Amino acid sequence: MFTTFSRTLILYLIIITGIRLMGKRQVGELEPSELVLSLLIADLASVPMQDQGIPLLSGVIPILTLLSLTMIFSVATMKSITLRAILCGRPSVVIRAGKFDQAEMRRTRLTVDELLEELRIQGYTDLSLIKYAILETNGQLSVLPYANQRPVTAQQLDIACPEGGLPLILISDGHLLERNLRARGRNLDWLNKQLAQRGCSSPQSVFLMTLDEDDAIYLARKEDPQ
Amino acid sequence: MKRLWIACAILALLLGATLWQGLSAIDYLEDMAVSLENAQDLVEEKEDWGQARQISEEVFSTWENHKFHLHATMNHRDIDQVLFSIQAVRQYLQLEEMDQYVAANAQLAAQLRLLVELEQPTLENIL
Repeated sequence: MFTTFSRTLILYLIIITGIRLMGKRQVGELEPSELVLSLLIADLASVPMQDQGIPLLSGVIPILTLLSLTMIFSVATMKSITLRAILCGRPSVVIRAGKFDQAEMRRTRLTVDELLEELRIQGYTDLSLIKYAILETNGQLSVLPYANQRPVTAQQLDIACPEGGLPLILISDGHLLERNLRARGRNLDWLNKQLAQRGCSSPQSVFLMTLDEDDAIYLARKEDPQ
Repeated sequence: MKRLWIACAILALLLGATLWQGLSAIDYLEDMAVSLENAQDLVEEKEDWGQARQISEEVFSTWENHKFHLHATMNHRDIDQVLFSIQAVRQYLQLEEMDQYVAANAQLAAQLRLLVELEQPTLENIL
């Protein structure tokens, strides 16, 4: 049992490290190769976890091989458009200028029901409002409505809006992030003064505190444990 | 680009390490099988049980020395089968039972040769 526990720990750490090293893009929406990778890794890891008769390396070596190959293909597709098209495919325009591209739908094996379902999920029930619908390589559908159907912007109404800044987290769940504090050009004295003004004795009593480029502060105190 | 080189290095390392591991295992497992067959010949032709026991014990000692490597790289069921056979051969050597010893020894040598075959980087194994 201890062996099972140790193997699970080791395999989990290896997989997490590998996925993390592959970068943020792979963690998000999955391209076909990334989906294959996820499925394979899950299977490869589970076998030596459960069967103590199989050496741990029988799981570790294939996993490392797959992660390395994925990294190589990932960089290669970044450099080569042709390879990118081969491995990831190309986006398919299934609605063009308001009309269904039925040939493209047949090619991508996208049925009308599936297309309508995706459109409804994105809030479009009236097909006449849609100018373009594009089936992306990760399987998601991007919808571009006609210009007169898009939400109005402040610029179109000629309204001047203040630009918000990007908030940086200064305190997260009681932990002070000094690096972010220095990045915003502030110090501990300033922080303590701000906390005191808001009735907080120390960073440990703060759940979240952010500061953006316009010096706007957001602070949420920690709740008392009950 | 740094990640590309790291990935290539890991792949190259894995390839090298797996080939080296396989070839070194083939080496000593083959030697063990040959030594066991030599010991068997000594018993069959000259009934030299003493020499056969000595050679066999050296083989078993080699197996013990590589136990960690074997357990880390090969299926434990295969390893266990070899261990059972080693115990059987040891007993028959002690008891000097000719027929039983020859059969058990031949089985052990065959099991070692199977392990050798499994480690070979051949198309047959890959497919």
